[in-house]
Amino acid sequence: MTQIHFYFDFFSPYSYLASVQIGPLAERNHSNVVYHVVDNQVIKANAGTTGRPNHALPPKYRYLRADLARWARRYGVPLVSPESVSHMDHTIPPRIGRGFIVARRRGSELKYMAAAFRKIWGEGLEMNEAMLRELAPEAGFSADAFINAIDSEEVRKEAEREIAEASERGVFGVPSFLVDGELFWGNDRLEMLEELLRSSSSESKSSAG
Amino acid sequence: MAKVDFYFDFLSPYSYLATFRLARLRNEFGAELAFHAIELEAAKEAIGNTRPAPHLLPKKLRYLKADLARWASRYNAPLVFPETIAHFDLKAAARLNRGFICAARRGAAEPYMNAAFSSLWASGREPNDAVLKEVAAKAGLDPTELAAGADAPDTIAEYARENQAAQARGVFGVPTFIAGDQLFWGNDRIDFLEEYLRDPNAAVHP
Repeated sequence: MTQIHFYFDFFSPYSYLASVQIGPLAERNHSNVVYHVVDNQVIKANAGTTGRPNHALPPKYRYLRADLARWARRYGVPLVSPESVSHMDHTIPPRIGRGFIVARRRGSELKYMAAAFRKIWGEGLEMNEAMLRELAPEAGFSADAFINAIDSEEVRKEAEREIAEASERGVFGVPSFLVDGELFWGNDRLEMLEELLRSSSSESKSSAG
Repeated sequence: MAKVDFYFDFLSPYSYLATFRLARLRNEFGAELAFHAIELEAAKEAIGNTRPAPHLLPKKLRYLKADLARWASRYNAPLVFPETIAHFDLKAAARLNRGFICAARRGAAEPYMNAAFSSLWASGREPNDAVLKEVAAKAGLDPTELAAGADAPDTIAEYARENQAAQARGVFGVPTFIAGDQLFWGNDRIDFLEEYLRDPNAAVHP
C-alpha cells in the first residue's frame, strides 16, 4: 500500500481543510495516511522563510478569509476564522499539536485531530488553556494527565524529532504531503496528489498484468 | 460579458502559466479581459510582506521547480526554468513590464505579453535589453522605438499609476484576477474564478 505522509499544524486553516479530505482520498486510492503534526513556525524558519505571518499582512489576510470561505463551501465543512489570531497566546498551538502525539499513544489521534480542528477552525474558538483541557477526553485522558503529558520532556522531544524529520525530508510549510519522495504543498495540491496516486496504481496494475 | 482584470508580472512563472487559461476564460466564461503588468515586489512591499522570494530558498526552489513542471504538464505548456533567476537584472525586468504599456498603446498587448512570457519561461532566458527588443519585434513593433518608449517619463508614470491602482484594489501578489468585487490570487485559483463567472452567487463576503 502506498503511504501518504501528511504534515499539518493545528494553527493552519489549510491544514484543517486538508485534514477533512485526506482520509477519504487515501481510502479511495487504496493508500494509508501517516500523520505528522509539526510546528509550522519552526518548519518555515528551518527553510529560511522570514517575515511576518499572513495574519499580520491585512490585505493578504482579508483575501485568505475569502479563499478559506470558498474552500469550505466546496468541501461542505464549517469554517470560522478565529478573531483572536493576532493577539492570542502563541504557546498554545504547539501544545495542541503535542496533544496529538499523546493521543496517538491511546489510538485516539484521529478523533483528537478532528475535534481540535473542529473547535479551532470549524467554530473559530480561542486557542487557550481551557480548550486544551476540553480536548483531553478526545485524547483518552483526564485533563490533568493530558496537560502533564503534553508538557513532559519526552513528548516535547518527540515533537521536535517530528519537526526535524519533516525539515530533512524537504517540508517547508503546511499542509504538505509526501508520497514516494514526491512533495505536494498546500490543500490546493490534493488534486495533483490524487492524480499521482491514480497513475501509480494504474502503472502497478499494468505491470502486474 | 464580465469584465475580468488580470494582473501579472513577467517575472512570475505562475503568471505565465495562468495565460494558458485565458482563451477558455473568454470563450467559455465570457470574460472580457483587461491586462495589467505590475511589479510583484512592489505589491509585496506595499503590504509589508518581506518574505524572501521562493527561488532564493533551496527547499522552496526545489519544490517550485517540481510544481511548475506539474502545471506545465497539465497545461501542455513549454517550460524551461531560468537557472540564472537569482541574478536577474530587476531593472531590466521592470523595463519588460513597462514595455507592455507601450505595446498596449499600439494595440499589441497580447502579442507582446505572450512573447515576453515565452522568452523568460518557455525559453529560460533572462530579462535584458536584447530580450526586450526581440519581444518587441515578435509583437510586430519597432524594437528601438519600444525600448525608448519603455523608459519615457509618461510610461514610467503610467506604470507607477498601474501599480498603485492595483495595490488600492487589494492586489498583493500575482497572478491576480479581479471580477466584480471578487479577487482570486494564483494560477491555482482560476477554477474558483470560473465558478464565479458561471454563477455570481458563488461570491464570498466573509
